[in-house]
Amino acid sequence: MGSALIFGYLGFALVLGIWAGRRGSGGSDDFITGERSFGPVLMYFVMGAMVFSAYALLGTPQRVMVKGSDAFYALAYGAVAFVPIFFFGARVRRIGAREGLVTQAEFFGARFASRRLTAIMGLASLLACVPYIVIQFKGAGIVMQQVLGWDPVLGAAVVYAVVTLYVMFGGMRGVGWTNVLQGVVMLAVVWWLGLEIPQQLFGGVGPMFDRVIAERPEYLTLPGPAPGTSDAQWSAEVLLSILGFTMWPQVFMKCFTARSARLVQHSAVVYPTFLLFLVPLFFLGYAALLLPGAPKDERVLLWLVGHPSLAGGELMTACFSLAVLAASMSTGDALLHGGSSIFVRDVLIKGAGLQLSERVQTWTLRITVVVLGVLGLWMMSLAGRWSLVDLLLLAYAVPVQFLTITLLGLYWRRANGVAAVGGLCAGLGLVIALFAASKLAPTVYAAINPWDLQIGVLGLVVNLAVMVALSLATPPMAKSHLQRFEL
Amino acid sequence: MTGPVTRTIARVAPLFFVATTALLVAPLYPWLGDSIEPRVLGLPWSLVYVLLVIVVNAVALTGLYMARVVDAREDEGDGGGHG
Repeated sequence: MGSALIFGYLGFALVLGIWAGRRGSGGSDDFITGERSFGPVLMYFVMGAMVFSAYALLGTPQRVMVKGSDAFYALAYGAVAFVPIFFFGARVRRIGAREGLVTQAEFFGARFASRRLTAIMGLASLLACVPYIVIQFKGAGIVMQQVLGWDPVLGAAVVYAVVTLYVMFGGMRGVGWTNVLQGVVMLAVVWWLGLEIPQQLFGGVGPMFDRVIAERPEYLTLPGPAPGTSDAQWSAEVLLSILGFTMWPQVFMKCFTARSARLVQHSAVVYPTFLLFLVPLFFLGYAALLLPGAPKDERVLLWLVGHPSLAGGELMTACFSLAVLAASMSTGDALLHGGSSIFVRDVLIKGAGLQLSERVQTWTLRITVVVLGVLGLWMMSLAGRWSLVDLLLLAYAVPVQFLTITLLGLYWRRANGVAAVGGLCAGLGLVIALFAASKLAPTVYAAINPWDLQIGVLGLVVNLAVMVALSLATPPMAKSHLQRFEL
Repeated sequence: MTGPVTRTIARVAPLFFVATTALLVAPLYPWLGDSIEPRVLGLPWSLVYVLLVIVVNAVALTGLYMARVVDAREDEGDGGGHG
């Protein structure tokens, strides 16, 4: 049953993605933004399904098992994560349409009249995207191994061959329409399992929490099980995630795909309904916690749905596998699509100054999708030697550095190009230096950062200080230029 | 909806979300939200509390959206409009 469902699902996603791509003009603007045509349904699922990755689906219950209520941090930062888009998204959409801008780096390169800024942001975005792509591959590989017994790298290769094809030939429209399918699958399956499994095992969600309170109460409040999460660690996790979330290029870029500026705000308003998707994952994590022998790694949910005491376990395993695939694919496609758009528009065209015809541009975008897919697979095959957690630490610290450029660029007339480049280079430089020191010279790192503060936050503080100082010390940009950016 | 009231709401709105963010981190979260009791529909308060903040933010965003007080200018068309 599992293999038939998986191959049926992959086939349907492929056809849907390619069909969606045929609805547009097929040019580079169509590939990157879907010609700014997305309505409320597409925007809802694009935003929601993109955010909820295989990491959220497999990692949330695992986090409950390992760290208890610390796992609620994903819900806590999600409560505020989309609020910045409500405030600046409409403006970004309007300016983007007026100026013909389609990526985050292109947008701020234009605002600060700096091709160098576009190139630096583009390269930094790619650096941040790759580890995240590898995580999505890993999620797909786990499912294919569990259901079909395949090697995880081979499984991920098959799933991502489908994703690569529909992103190549469907572009943003392919990503959008498949995200509708994937979002519906994820929401339906996760809510069903989240209520059904506690019902079958404990008589409901309430009785299940009665058991948790009686047997493992430390898992319901901070600091949680040893070694525990301090209040400061919890607060830092929540704040850094809030600050960095909308700075992720694939999230920011979605402002450009909406049919209107108001629709960008609408997406922020309805997003919390998608956020509730995490709640049943907490239930499943606590259900596993109460069962003896539950693994504490990312396979815990696949172990739980196949538990012998559950009726209908085969159907549950098959459906859950689909949900993981949906989560992996809906984030992975956005990353492949965003990564290729950034590489071609920001690095090649704006950064290196290449003149590409519309047709060559579209094909370069498609080929880059394949290259990123192969790169992801290659990195996945090295995952035993490379720590994904380490790479993610770096990946999360990078997009946060775009916060100063975004806020000062959109709301402060004095901010100029020299300051933007200076601040970003200072922030990124510090982040990379601290990351390298933490791996290569831990004693030096401990001396520089004795409280082990988040490297992203340290970079952000330096970035902000440099950008403000340079903006005040150098001449402002021309009024006529600022007016184009509604300043 | 335009005028001084609109402008005031638009200015205060970010502060509201700063306040709800403060509810989710130290010292307010450990003080107000980090406990098992009272339970609501069987769920622990530590989870319900975070869900309530989500609801409060969602209601606030919906109100701001409906009242068109934050940057509610309509588009002027793709690429063809002006300032």
